[in-house]
Amino acid sequence: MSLSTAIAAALDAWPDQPGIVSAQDGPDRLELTLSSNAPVGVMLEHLDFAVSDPSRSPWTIDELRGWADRLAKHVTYLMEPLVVLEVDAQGGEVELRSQSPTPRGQLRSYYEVRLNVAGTLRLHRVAFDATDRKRRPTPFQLSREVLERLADDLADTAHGR
Amino acid sequence: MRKIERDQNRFRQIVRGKIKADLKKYITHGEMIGKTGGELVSIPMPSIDLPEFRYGTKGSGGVGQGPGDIGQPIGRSGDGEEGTGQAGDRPGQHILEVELTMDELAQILGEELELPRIQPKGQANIIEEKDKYTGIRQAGPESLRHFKRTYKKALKRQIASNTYNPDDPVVIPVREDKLYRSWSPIYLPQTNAVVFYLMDVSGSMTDDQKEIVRIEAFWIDTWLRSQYDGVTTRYIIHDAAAKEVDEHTFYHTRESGGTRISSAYRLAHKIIDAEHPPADWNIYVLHFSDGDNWGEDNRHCVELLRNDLLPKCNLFGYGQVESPYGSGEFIRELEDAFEDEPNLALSEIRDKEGIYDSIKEFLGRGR
Repeated sequence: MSLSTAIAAALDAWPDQPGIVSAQDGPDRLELTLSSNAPVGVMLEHLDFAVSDPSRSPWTIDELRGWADRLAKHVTYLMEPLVVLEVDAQGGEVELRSQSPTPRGQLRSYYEVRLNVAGTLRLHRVAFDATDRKRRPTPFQLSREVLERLADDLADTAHGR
Repeated sequence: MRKIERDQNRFRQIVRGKIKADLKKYITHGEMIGKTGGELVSIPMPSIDLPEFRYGTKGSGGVGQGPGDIGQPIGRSGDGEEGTGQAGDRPGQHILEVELTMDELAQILGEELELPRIQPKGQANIIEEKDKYTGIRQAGPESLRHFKRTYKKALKRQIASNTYNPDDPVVIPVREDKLYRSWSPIYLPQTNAVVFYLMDVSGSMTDDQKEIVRIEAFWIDTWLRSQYDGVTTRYIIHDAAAKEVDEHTFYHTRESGGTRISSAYRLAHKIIDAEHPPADWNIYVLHFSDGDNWGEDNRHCVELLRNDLLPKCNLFGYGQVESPYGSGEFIRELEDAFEDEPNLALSEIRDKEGIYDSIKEFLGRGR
């Protein structure tokens, strides 16, 4: 069993309503905060991934940077390609964002991925509204195929594969 | 005043008027920044019509001579081929470059933006020593010999000793005749200012944003230099850590670290304490960032500003430059934390068009 099949099974069992759906495969855990769930895809508030291996020491910032680089290289099928933007050695975090935000009217939206030395990842989408000059998290849609591929890529890149 | 001087002054007035009218364009495009050379700045002025002679129609008719017959139309040579080039989409124009002193430029900026003159903090407080030629001595280097006085003294001596011959008016100074200029130090009070430019160079700041900072810093610098006798500039860049750099490094560095604005505030404060005591210096701190500050750092920044920087600065200006990802939250944190601080100016710069208003926001307080 892989993380993709585990999350597919969990989503099949989940009705079309908001909530948190999770799946585990070995040390890898994927958690989706859903706005809606349909047979063709999901709408997510955010997506969390964690490698919870008690035998593993905390990630170094270089390892985290390596994970971020692999992610940017492999995850090329979202709305926009990702780039590593900032590496915060002091805070133990790495941030990736969409290479170029997608403009829609007054909104400019982009993906933001944060990796932490605890071995966690959060993917969410942010929209900047030019009318009130504010950024807000915005739900984003993934087809089931893309979600399953993403689940496996998160696990693979986290383990250096 | 000679006629040429009158014409020259009139021309300068026309140039000034043109620059004032187009100042926003010059500021927005940053056209003149690369053209500064010491005291002068060279400005391209595409739309000044130079005076020229134009012939009237009177007497313009002439007699032509050529191979054609009477009545044959001229200018049509049959069916020619079509040209391959395309017509230009802009009018042809001559670009005239006009040189202005930085003071003149600052004056135009002040008039157009209606900037109040800065009232320096406290008294003129830096004492500068200057040498001034104030007297005459009988000894000194030959380079400082006072020609006129030396010859007058020699003439007096020759007349008194009856060796001067008006028919052969040769005056030869001897050693005792020679007089030299002498100097004494005078002390001039000067009002000096130090300007700290702080910039976020983290991964989220793009080259376009740095260009905006460069243009804005040029104009602020021009104004402050016109208001103080001496201006010292210091440059600090930061991502998660801050360091002092030279001007070139300031505008051409890109780091990939996270953003911790407090690191720059801490360093600026350290330098102020060590080298620019507020009693002696007018202190300006101008910070530019996209406002994407990490973690709990906003709180530290507010504390540093409130306790350390604002009490020591004439003006603290924060310019938030919009990135492709929009504008960060830092400026809102400052707006919430500080209400009506007289020496805190906040400005959100969306693009190059926003530079003009931002300069006005920073300098319009007369501090």
